[in-house]
Amino acid sequence: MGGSEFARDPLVALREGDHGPFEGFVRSHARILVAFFRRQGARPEEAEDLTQEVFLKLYRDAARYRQEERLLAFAFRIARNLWIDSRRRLAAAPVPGLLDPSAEVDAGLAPGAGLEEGERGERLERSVRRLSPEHRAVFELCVIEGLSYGEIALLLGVPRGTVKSRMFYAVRALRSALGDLLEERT
Amino acid sequence: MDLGDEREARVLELLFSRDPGAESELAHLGVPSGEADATRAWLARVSREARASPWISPEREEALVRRILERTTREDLGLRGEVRLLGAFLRDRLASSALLRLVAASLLLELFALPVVAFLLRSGEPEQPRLVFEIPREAPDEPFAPEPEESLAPDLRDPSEGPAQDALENAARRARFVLTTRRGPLFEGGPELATRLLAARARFLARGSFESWLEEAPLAEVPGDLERVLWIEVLLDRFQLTGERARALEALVPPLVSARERGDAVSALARGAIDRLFACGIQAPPAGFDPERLEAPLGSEWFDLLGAAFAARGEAPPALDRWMEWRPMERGAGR
Repeated sequence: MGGSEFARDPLVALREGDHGPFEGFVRSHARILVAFFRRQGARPEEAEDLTQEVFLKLYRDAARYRQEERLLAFAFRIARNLWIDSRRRLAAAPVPGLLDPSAEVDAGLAPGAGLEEGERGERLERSVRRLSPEHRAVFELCVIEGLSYGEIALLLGVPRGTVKSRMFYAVRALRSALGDLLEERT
Repeated sequence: MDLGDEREARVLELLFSRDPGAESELAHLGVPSGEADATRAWLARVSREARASPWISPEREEALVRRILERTTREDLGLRGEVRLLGAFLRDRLASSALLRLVAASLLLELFALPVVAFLLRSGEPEQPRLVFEIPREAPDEPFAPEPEESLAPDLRDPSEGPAQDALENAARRARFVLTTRRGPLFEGGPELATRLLAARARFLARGSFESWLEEAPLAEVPGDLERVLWIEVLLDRFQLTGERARALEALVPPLVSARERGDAVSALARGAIDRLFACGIQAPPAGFDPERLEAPLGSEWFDLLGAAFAARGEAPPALDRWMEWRPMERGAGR
């Protein structure tokens, strides 16, 4: 996952006239970004629009892009800013998920729906939602989105040690809630 | 966070780390490989479960990717590309929102169906009745207006063929004699309209000048039948002596038609005036009318009736006396 999966950084390749890596990045990460926005509480259409906007920004800014971090982390930073802007524009309810400690993901759109192991997915989602917003954000970005501690620290604007401690408490809480369930599969 | 927690947090960080030295550090911390593997496996399952959620269907994901590529690396900058992009956007939005589909259907219905329905309804309507306002060319009939028994005849006879033309001319000559020799009071009327008419008649016969007020006076204000008779007589004198027909006759005659039947002196004078109209051809005569039986103008009988008419009204104006004194001079001269 992320820019490391590509032989060349997609935006660097795009700047050099090679569209292939960027198109591959779009195909492999569109679903991830939609899921990211949906977990924040975006409606399906809104999540797709925001995802499209992330890739459009990457494409348009390719000429000014400086390869200082993984493209995936850069994309998530754009996604986070777009989400904040969209909430401000809408003057809507506080942002759930990463940016709104008090909000929860719409239960009707909860992950796990439609899975064969529906009960396990729902229980996982419920457990994740019970985490504090700070712990939940770190957990989602690290475990689900695959960002490193350093990338998460940059994204959330907190010290790396804070990411480390939040991740520790999140995992401990989830293992306490889900450990047995997931252990059963092993 | 105590030391134990600190160690576990560091272990967790190393498990997520991509650093090649992470494994050796884990070993240095004394983490059994089995424990590290079990934690990795648990985290992998959690990640797999979370990512397996159907946040977006494969079809929508494919459409989203295609849309992104069409606006980035495969963007068609031509008109066709813009149209396709717009079409795709509309399709996508319509597919994702039932409310939007309802709005679009309503809009289409209003744009296309309603005009057609309106056209069909209008074409099936019976023709609306039209209200036409017209001013009738002819005045409506007046059922209560009495029809005159005789109407004025358009064709006039030669004035010289009128009744007792000679007698009238003799009366005129005598009137001129009186006027030139005595300037008698015959030509001076009184304040009453009847005596003014008598004086005007005398002056016309003597001087031949027709006084314009006889044509211009408001005939609707003529007070009575006696005045109408006297007015008609002077107009007929003018017609017989000059051939000029006065328009005032048309207003004066009709009121006298009914006055003929009353049986008093005025009605007799009215009959005489109307018979004179018949004789002059101004009014169409009834069947059996014999102009030869008419009395000449200013005859003795006419003077008797004139006196009786004034007497019936209880009037004895001085002007009448002068006319009565003139009568012997005209005895035998006719009407």
